[in-house]
Amino acid sequence: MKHNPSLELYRSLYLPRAVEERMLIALRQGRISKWFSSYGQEAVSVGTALAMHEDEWICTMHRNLGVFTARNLPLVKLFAQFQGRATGYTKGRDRSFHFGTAEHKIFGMISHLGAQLGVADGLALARSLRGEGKCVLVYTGDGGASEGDFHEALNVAAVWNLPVLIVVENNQWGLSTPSREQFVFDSFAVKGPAYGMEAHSIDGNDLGLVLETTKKLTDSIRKTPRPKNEEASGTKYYPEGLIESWQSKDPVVRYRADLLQSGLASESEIKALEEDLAANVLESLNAALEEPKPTYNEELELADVYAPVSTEASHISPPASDRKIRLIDAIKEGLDQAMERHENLVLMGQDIAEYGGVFKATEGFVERYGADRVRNTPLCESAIVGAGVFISRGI
Amino acid sequence: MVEMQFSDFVTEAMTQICNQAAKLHYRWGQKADLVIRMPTGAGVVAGPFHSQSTEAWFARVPGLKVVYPSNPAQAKGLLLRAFEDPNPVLFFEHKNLYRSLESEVAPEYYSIPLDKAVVVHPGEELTVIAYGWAVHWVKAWMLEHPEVSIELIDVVSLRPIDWPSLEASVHKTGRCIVVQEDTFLGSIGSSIASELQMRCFMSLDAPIKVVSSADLPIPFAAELEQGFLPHDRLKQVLNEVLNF
Repeated sequence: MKHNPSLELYRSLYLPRAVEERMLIALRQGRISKWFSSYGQEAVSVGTALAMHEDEWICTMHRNLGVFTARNLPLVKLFAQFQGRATGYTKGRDRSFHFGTAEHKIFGMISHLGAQLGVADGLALARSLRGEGKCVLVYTGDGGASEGDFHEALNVAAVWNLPVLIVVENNQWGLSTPSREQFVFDSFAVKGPAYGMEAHSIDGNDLGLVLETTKKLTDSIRKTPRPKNEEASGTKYYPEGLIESWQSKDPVVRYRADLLQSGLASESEIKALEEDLAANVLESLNAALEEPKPTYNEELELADVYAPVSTEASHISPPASDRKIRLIDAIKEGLDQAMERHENLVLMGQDIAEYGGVFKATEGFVERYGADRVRNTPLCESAIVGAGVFISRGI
Repeated sequence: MVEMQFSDFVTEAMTQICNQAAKLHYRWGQKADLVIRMPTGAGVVAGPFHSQSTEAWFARVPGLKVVYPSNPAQAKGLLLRAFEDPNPVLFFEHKNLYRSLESEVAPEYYSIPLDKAVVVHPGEELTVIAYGWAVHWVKAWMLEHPEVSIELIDVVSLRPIDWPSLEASVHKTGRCIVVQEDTFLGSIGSSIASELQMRCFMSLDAPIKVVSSADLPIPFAAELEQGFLPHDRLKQVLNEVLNF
């Protein structure tokens, strides 16, 4: 796969690196208290994110700084988020990368490392039902892939032909635990086929390769909705602990060398770009640290726990009637009328389609509303509820 | 909407419900617009994994709404309201009531508020607070004892709880029992009793008591399940509190 390096792409790759460098300094200086580093993994995030269309959702993890920079989140607000400031994306309510932004079509992680995968299934299902030819991208790591959610979500994605690209970032470590203590297979590329999906394993430190491969895979998913599994192997490392032999794998160093060699940018142009980005990062961090800390106002905190309900109930209590029916019939009638009223409503459950559910609450629904909206599910409660969490945004 | 085949199976999805859906709006302002139907409860001789009362697991999680109708008309209006609500709603349906209970249900579309308790029967001597199947246990006792003036309140919404309605009734009667199918510790009933004890202490003529099932996994055989359920305790506690 031919890839021509460009200064513009190097910019996208170097920006998260400049953030990493600055955060590690700020950490040592005691200016910040915690930093989830993805130093050395920039090419995976940047390459995959840039292969996605702007209106396609990306479900991120804590080693995906490059997605946030590639989607051009304003750095001051991003850093204010990292530092728990009132002006960050969660108003100080959640830490570091535990946030999303609908504006940038990023669904943020929770601490449970498999939980993104089910949500991605739901977003992909929504897009697929609309026949939009769009793809969803979700990341997990070699650590997160040990969770049960990984199994459930891949299975559901395969059974429902969901347009989702599942990227496993294999950096060889689950925090401190090396791969050999987590799994005994050689590559995550063995996982996809086991669920009936295609899988590819690539060198995640090669930006050009990550970008071109992801473009090819996502284009194909957009054309024919189905899931694919991409393993991007890389190395997680910090500059101080960098083993010399790994330096040659550093995606930034490699891309920089390729760019120079191509003759498309000079050393001085590259240097100027790096200095410019580093200065911008420092300036943004300084500005973020000036942002206000949150203040505790219980009323305001409580007010944000629930989404406001925009309508009133039609009645205070059930209207009078002389028609007597059973509880199961009332539930069924309620579901039926909800399906009529909310055209985006999708029902998911075990044996709810042709069989009508074990209590027959949805008997006849699949004939009436079709198999897209009345869906039998595999025994994957976590992935199915996960799919339901954000499906309404995908639709 | 997701249908749990049996509410017991929901343990497989706790992370998505309690950590993902419940906290989404508070964390970054997005809606987890999801209804989970939860066929629940005992009395159908189905053993430890098809009979549990799981509502209290969720009622203590900020960000979730939990409703538990006790009759068909209520169930239809609440279910339709759950679909109008942009928050994650856990909707409990008692399996034992599915086919054993009939009531008048209007055929047209209607929705009723998710967060309101209902006075099933007004009374003066004793407030009995219940939800789900337990509402019908109390009704049965009341039919046998028309001489006692009981105010029966159906909690309906287990999160949020309609405290003003409960409190007003207990202030009025001065006596209160909470009846539930669930076991005691960490339950809806124990929470209601402790809160009302604090809110209504000066109005009380007797301690607030909670009637719960035995502190056991739910046994399978009908003889054992009947023993687990608190039918006998209900009669005993009603007499105790009325005669205190």
